Amino acid sequence: MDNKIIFGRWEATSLMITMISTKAILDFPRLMLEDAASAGWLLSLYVSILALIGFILINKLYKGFSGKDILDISEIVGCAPVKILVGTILLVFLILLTSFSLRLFGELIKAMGFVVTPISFIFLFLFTGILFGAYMGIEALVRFMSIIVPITILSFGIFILAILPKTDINNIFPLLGIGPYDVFVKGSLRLSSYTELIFLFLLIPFIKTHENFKKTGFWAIGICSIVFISITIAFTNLYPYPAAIEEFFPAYQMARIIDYGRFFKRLESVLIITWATIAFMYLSTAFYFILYVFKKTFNLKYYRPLLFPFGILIFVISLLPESLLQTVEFEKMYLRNWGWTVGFALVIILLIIANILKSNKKKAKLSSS
Amino acid sequence: MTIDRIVVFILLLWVFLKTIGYAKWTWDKKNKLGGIMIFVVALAALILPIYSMYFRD
Repeated sequence: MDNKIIFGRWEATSLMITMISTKAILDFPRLMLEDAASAGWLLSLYVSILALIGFILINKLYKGFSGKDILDISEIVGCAPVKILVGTILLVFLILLTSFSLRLFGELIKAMGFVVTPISFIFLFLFTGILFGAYMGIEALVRFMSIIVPITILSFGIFILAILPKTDINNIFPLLGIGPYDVFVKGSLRLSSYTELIFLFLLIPFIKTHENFKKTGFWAIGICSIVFISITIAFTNLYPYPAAIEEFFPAYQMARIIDYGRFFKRLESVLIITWATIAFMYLSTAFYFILYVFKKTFNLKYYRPLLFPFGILIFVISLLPESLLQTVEFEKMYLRNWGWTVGFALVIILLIIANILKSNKKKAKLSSS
Repeated sequence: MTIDRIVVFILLLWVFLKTIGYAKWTWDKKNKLGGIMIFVVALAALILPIYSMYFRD
């Protein structure tokens, strides 16, 4: 897993696109409409701009630390104790993120084609792929993603275009939804939609240069913002608020509406293949990074012996919520409200302290010489 | 106790023992904190499923 493995900008961008924009096929459009009503698309645009500003700031702070991930930075800040603290925070966050995403994907696949199948049985199939992906390692995963991501982007584009004739542009009015306060003040918490940028800060040793880091971040945020805004606009225009917020899986409901003549009906059965592949890529990568963070935090030599114990933990945690409603509520309350504290605030604080320490060291060196 | 639960229990025990083996190997390599943390993970991966299988209902 180690720094001997290096991959290019496109591979890293594909990974980031998968990690950030996957929620577009889960509950992202509904969350936007719940918070900002008909201005859901404006909220997606707003959080994308906030994410871009956050990344510009992080990019500036990261300049002197090329090739170092967030765990290396925390070691610079406070040696082993801070590294262990940051690693533990990341671990808890990633375990919760992966568990609840696994549950949502399982429920989505169940809703799409396996209505009477027990959720734990669907998990077993997903899990075989996840364990295999994580076992193969980051290089196999990113190479696979670099091939699949263009196909999923293309299929997403066709999906949005196919919906367009059914939409009604009048649904986006009133433009500011339930008011500017809800969109621009309360809505800023939804910056957590980009919290998966944390994977980029863990990816740095694999992409090495600061230039790669910068371009990967900008491209990923740019493409994901297009995905988020387009799906939210399409959803708002298809289902008027407040009826829209009753749909647990907006993208699935939208896919069911596609109907072109005699032969192109119920396209969700085709989309299940693409979406299951996205689920596999997202969950395998997130699971791999749980092992990576654990290995790096506690200076372990191998990560593969930990595949099964962590797999069991995630499997069980994802089954803890008693219903889909409870899962969605938990995800909304904690991960999507406070995820930004890990994805942005923690990183910025660590980088500011690391920069101060670095400049102090420089000053001390100059004065002594 | 049904047969499926017994099979699951045996699998959990097997994973636990394998992970403990890795924890001991790490401990022997002078990485005590690493060994302890792997042990904690192994214990959680044994207790949590048993709790949710037998006591949650």
